[in-house]
Amino acid sequence: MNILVIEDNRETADYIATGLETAGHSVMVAEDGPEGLRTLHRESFDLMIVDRMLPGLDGLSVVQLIRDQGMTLPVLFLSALDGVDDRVKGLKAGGDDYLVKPFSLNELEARVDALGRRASISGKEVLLRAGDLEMNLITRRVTRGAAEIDLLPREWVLLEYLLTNKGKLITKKMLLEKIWGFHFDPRTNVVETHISRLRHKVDKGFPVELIVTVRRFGYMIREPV
Amino acid sequence: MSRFKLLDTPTFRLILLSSAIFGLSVSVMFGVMYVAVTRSMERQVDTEIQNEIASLSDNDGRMDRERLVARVQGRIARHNQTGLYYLIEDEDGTVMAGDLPALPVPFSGTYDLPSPSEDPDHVLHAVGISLPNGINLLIARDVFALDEVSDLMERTFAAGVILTLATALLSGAFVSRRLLHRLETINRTSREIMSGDLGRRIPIDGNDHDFDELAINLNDMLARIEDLMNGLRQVSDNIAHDMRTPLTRLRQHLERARLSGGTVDEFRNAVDVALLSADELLETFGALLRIAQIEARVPNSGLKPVDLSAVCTLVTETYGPVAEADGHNLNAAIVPGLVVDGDQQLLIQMLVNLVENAVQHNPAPVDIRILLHHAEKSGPVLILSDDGIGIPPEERENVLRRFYRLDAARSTQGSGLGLSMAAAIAKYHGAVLTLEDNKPGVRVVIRFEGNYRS
Repeated sequence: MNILVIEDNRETADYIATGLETAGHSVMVAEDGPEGLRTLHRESFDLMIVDRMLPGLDGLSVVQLIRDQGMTLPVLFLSALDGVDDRVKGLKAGGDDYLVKPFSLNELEARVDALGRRASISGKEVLLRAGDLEMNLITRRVTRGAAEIDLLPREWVLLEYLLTNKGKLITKKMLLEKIWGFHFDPRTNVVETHISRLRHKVDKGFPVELIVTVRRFGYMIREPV
Repeated sequence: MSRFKLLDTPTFRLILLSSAIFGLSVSVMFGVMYVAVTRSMERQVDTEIQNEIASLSDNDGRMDRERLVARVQGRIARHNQTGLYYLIEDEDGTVMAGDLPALPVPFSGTYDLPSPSEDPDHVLHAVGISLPNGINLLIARDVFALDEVSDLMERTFAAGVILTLATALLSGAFVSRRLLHRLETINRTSREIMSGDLGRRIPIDGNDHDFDELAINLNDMLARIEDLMNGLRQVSDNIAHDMRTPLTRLRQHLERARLSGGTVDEFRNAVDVALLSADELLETFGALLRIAQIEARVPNSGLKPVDLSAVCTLVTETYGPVAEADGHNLNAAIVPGLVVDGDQQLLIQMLVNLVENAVQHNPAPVDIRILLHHAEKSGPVLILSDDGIGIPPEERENVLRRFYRLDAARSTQGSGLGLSMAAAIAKYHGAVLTLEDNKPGVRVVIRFEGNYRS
């Protein structure tokens, strides 16, 4: 993906750029709001990562401006501000995701992937599939092969989210935010426990495991080869 | 207190100004009254003299010389009864009758004449007319009594004004002294607080409503400032002491790896371990900052209605399996639809911290119970109880402190911040968090007093 990073701290900008370039993205860095806007108008990007606190023009205003101009590219906010209000403000201004500093590269990459995918999906799919696992969003039925799978409401949301992002790493943090609405790190294995329950229903007794653990970082649903 | 200082107080000056305005309005009122009364008295004298002139005339209105002289002489003989003085002169200025000294003719008009008694206080008010038959008639009235009334009025007025001003000055001085005294107390307390004694409070007098209210508000403000200061101090203490240990451990770990590491895999493992402990450190930092942020917020500010029942249900649903995985049992009795003014994220985190404490700090399986009901007086009450190892009564205050960990909990995971964060969140929501004995186990009770929407 072609990614624009607007970040005034050069060290952080380098850290992000190196990380994303290693993951195969092409990255351009702007050091303040106005420069970011100029770059944005000169070239085309698939995604923008913007720090909330910027010299010249702050991140919120940058995003508001480009949204007012009708640009729809996905925006990921970076911020040292960890208040709930801050997050809500960021999303209201037109951000698609909000990541609080400090963050790990894996976390950033996973979110960039998820946002990139969101942009490429046009319209909502009705049938989500991975191998012989099928999730029908209309009939609200989940089957694997011939077997019907009964899911609790939150297990349904969890599986739907994983299937929508099939093949992408989903971090625990993302799951906590998206599935449970927790914007903090619990000390217990909340995600692990629920994934294990879901796995018990989806994978147990089948020769191929669809829900894969990426050690220490998160999970993904992998299409069997 | 010097008079000079008294003059400087706004209260005293205000009182002076209002007494001046009051005095002025009284003077104007008196002036009007004075003029009206003296005018009316003068008119009365004039009327009296006019009547006398009329009664001296003949029936047909004319005046015969001889009869007039006779009548006037008769009147002068009875002078004591009428209190009037007379003078009649002919056209040449010869006195024909009268008890007043001669005046040059003609003397029509009104005059003020000295009294024949030669007492300077006595003044005569006189009216003179020239009759068509050449006679000049003058009738005068001693107005001493009227002057006395005027003098009395003037004296009374002067005394009144002096008395009013004196009273105003005295009461002004009294009130100002009182105010100055209270203000001085407040100033002195403020100076003491500024010089470092944060525990000082302004004394409350009990019989001065306005000042007591001011003192109470100031004291509340001081308490809040002291809270914030203590919070800040505690955070720096925490950083200095509690964060240093894990940082030192991390450093030692890296140093060991640097010295003894041989293969790339060994280094990679060492880096992984270091990353993990750095993450833990960051997390602790984050939690610490969050507590400080919550404590720095103005209680009950920026809150929106939150369905507390839904929060409890979410946490129960989410943590049921987690508790079960550790051999515990989590169940709940939640009255639906209880709404409080709150911050949903913080309320979730509060309950999560409490549930996680119960899950983590009980080695043997326990029953964990989330209870939410509505108490008649105190609004919603949230109770999180377990029947596990419990907290000794003497430690119940301590465990609310940051980084404080019971000996029994040292072997288990955790930063020692969960409960203090829960307490800070409760306080921010105008709720009170208390730890009670569940016999056995511990019961955390959160009463949402003063924060309830029906």
